Amino acid sequence: MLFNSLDFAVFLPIVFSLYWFVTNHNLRLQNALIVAASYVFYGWWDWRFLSLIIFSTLVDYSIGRRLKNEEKQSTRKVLLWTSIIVNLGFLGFFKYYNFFLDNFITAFSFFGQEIQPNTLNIILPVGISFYTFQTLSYTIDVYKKKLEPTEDFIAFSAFVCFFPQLVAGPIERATNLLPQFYKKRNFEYDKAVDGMRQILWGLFKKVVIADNCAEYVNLIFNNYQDYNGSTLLIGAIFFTFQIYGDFSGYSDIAIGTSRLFGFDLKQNFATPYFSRDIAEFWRRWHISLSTWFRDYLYIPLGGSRGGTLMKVRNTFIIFLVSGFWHGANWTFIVWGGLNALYFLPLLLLKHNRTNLGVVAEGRMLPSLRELFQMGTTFMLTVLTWVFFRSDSLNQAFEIIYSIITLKEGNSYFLNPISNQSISKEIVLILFLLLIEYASLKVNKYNNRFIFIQIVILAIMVTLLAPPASDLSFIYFQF
Amino acid sequence: MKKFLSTTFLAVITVLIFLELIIRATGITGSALPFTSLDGEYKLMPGEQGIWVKGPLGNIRSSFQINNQGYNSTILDYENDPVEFKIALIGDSYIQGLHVNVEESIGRLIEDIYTDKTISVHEFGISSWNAYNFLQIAKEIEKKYDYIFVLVTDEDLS
Repeated sequence: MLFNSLDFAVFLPIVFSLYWFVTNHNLRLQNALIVAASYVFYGWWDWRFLSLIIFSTLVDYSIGRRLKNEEKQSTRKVLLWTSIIVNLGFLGFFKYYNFFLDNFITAFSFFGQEIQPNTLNIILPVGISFYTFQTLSYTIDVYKKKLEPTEDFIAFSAFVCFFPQLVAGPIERATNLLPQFYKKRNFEYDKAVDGMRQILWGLFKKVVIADNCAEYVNLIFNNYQDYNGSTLLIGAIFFTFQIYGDFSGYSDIAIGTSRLFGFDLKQNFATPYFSRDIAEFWRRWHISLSTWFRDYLYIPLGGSRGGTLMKVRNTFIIFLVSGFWHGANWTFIVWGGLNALYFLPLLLLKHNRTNLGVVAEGRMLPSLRELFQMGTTFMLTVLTWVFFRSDSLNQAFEIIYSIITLKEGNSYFLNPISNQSISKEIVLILFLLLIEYASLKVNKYNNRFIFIQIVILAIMVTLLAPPASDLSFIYFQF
Repeated sequence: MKKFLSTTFLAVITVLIFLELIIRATGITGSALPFTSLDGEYKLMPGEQGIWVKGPLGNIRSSFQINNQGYNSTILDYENDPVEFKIALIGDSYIQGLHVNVEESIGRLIEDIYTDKTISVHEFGISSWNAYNFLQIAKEIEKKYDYIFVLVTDEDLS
């Protein structure tokens, strides 16, 4: 079920009413309702894949309980690896089987060995990368004795499949979300209204910003060979805002919906396009995944301790794995590698933690130096997003080459036949940036005018959505 | 909870009122264009008329009028058209002609060539129709027209 669908507009009030009016006196019943609602939410797409979530839940719940009573280190390790193999096994099979097979075939053919491909027509279960990482965090934390394993199966199931963040995050840590299922939730007016505002702001980002940009992005990337350098650059910049609107919009809706039910999820995006260097960008972009990789991969590998070679190795590992997490395609791996290349000089020169605050701290406007830094960081990320959006490395390199060499060709926007104007999209993007910049400058959110904000956002979402909007979210495919 | 529900209800009502006012004041959206099934075909609802609006800020505006056979045309009933010589145009959106005022459609432009008004052009067009639909309509109107010749083109206009 999609957040921006009529199905969800009916589903949400029903679950909300049952949650606060029918099951509110019994915590277990309330948690059971969340599990049932989440299964309906997920099964709406394809009920068969619910079995994966249920199996993963059973495995990690059982392993968590075994870990509690097990003191022998070798057995604890076996239990941990069982969870890792089961979870990553599912992920590997559904997401990467065909990728590895295709690459083996290519590698063999390189050495003159032709083998008959036997690929499988595998459907990628929506959100598998997200809930797999979430359940893994539970088992790893229990193994490291950072978290007491739960005895409450219903609460654990609700933690694994909590519908607002089940299919596209934020990837919640068990230490943050699971304890919230143990406590009775009380309805708070301010929290719920703020949740509504965040849902509408998320819808604005998705429906107005991302979907409006998507129309041009799809056209330009699908016909990239026809267009000139400037059109391709506009396409790449529009994709930069599309992916941000799409993904951070989803996170906002997820966080807002959770607040309606009395839960607090972690912030997933913090105005990333106002970053002054790539290290700051990665502290502000997809925070839940970045911190997951930091805590469960980068630090166990040694982090930034050790020699230069180790730092380089660890940086590349974390970014390449992050790229591979996004999809089974070389484009994502190069996307990760490029980010590692950007990040590495900052790390080696110990500048990776220079910009820990917000831009123009203590001032209203950024300095010229900060503007230059933000502009440079933004354009570097635009370059990486070309790989992210392209279907193949060949396409990505061709687009970048065309942009750099200012290739001649058709201009989509200055063509009197197509008569296309992007003024509306530019105004909308500037509006988004203005609001985000304002949010950096205001320390505490002012709830005084929240009613007006909600009304204005709802009107904008209704009026400014493109007529033939593609409903799906980009991150569903991951 | 009571306060939240009443605020939500008030917000929904306020949004609806504002949307109604904005849409009526700016005309950024057009009249509804309902579809129906006539003679087993997907057609427009007979008797409907209004303004068709398209473009990012509603910059394409044109009048439409749906006749008894479910097509956008100023000729209200093809079957009771008194003009002797008739031309049938079968096609999709181009023939449907929602992008221009119904008085300026391709049919009317062809009729204007003949200043003595001796011909009448019947437009059979529904947006998104394909070759199968064209053939179905051709078969349907075959019973009602005496053909002099049939022109088939590979463009929108068939």
